[in-house]
Amino acid sequence: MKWYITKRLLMLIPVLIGVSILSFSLIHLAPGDPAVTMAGEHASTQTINAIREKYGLDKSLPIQYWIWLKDALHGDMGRSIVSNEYITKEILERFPNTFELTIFSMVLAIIIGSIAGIISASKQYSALDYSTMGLALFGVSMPVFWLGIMLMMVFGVYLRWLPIGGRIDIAISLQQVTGFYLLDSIITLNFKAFISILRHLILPSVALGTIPMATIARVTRSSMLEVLRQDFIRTERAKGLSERVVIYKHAVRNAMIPVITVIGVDFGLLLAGAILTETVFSWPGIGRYVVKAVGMRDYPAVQGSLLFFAFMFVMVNLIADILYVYIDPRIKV
Amino acid sequence: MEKKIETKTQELIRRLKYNKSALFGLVIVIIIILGALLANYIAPNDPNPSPPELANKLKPGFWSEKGLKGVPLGTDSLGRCVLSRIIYGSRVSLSAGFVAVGIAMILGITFGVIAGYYGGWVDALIMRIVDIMFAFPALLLAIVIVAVIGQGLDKAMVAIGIVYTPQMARIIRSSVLYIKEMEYIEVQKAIGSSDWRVIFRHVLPNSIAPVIVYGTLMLASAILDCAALGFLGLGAQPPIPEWGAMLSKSYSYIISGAWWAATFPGIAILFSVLGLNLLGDGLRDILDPRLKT
Repeated sequence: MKWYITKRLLMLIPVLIGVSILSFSLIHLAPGDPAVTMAGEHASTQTINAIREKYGLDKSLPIQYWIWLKDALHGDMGRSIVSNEYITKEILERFPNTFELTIFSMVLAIIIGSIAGIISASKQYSALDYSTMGLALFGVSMPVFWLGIMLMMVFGVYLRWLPIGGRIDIAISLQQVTGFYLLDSIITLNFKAFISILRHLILPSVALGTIPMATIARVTRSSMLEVLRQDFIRTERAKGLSERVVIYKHAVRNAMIPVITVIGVDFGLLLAGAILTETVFSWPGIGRYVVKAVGMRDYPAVQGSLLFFAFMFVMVNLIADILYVYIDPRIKV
Repeated sequence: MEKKIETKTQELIRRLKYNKSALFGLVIVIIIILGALLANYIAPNDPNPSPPELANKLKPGFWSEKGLKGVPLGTDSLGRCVLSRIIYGSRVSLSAGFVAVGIAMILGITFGVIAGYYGGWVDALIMRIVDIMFAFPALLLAIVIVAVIGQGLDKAMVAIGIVYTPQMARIIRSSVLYIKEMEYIEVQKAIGSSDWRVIFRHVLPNSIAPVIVYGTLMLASAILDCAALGFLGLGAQPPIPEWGAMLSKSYSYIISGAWWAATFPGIAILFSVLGLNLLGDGLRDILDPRLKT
């Protein structure tokens, strides 16, 4: 196990180096003088020269990369062209919002998806099975941005049950402690804020969680069916164990192993989906930040978010891989 | 040789008939292709009338008494017929999907064959690059490529094509690795066939099944991602009737009650993706049972 984790961590090194080279190259691939690109079109010659000096843009590319990497590792990704704020600061401010949204969506997807899959499998070929799997089929083909708009329209505009965007009612004040809204409202025992935050979370999470929910339901079902065909299940049934014990105590435990892998993969997709969901619901997260940065040609900000996103993505996959081995000791490492 | 290909096609059709969901997917795909081909004939109105008929903006469709005649799905914020734009949009989305997947196939097959056939350090290098590209969520990478090469439909197609390349390369590589070990390939090499000949005459034709299967599934995601870029304002630019761009221009009007302009383009995206996914899954079950998950 230890050896597996070490090996897996070592394998990350070339990937992370490659990711950093790709992010670094971005500014040089973009048309125009990188110093002007970084300073912004309306910057003075003085600023441009200062930037050229700071990032060593007159030096060779490997040296420039080294300077950039050293700064990035120290948490300095430069300043945004648009806001002139430190990009690291801007990303870290937005990260809790994206984190809460993705976690909430994932929890929703895992709970509903796996339950739907288990029920479908235990009642194979029933009307319930067909309708669940039919819905799941629509779920995997869903354009999340459109689903978000539809949810917003039905539950926000027509029924007026839930808010259509933002994180919290403007009228409610919340003391910032950690930057994680939900957590802050719990820490400060601000019940009103908690409810408001939760209400704002529902629609974006449902929109974002739909695709993983559907894939989890499908994988759980097929994995359950596979397990239910195995000899030990037949033995247990023959022993006279009730169907409920067979399914929930023995089959489910074995069937969840492949589901873990899917969850890992889906988490990455969730990060990409967050870009769209955050745009629809005016969610102040990193996804919306990167779209705005691209639209404004704020290359340093794009560079920073790219690096951040890739890092998150790689880490999530790493955790999923380790979890996978941990849960299923049969896998030879 | 020709007879054998025909029987394979016949077998495919025969087995498709028994796969109801794949058949359903095929029907949807055929409808969309027909819509794209016959857009000039079946669209009730001009998708981009100039000058725009602003007097007719955001009029509802057949379900309302206030609706305009001859505009079954209502009009958008510039008074354009939503149905006609969706029909013409199938042209945009399908061709964008095909171009993107085409780019991914050409690049992916090239790199996949080189990596799989030659092995060694070339293989290692290509596969590490593939690993690095897999470290980014596909849509994010596409967005970033657009940031570098610029916005617009053609650029979005290129970006999506590049982003899908590693996936294709991996599939082709594993297929080549499998075929390379076959005895008849060894025979070909032994009788002195050139690498080119072995690759084009023997290795590639035998990798065709996964290319078709994953090409179909990739087409579904390419259409989806292209619409997503259009929605974010980074893909197709107005007045191109692209489904994603149509959505992004209309969804602010749902607050004033004009739900149709944002609803129908999304349904078009959903059904195209669904149809291609069903067809792709069906083809996978038929053509390559080994790939079945």
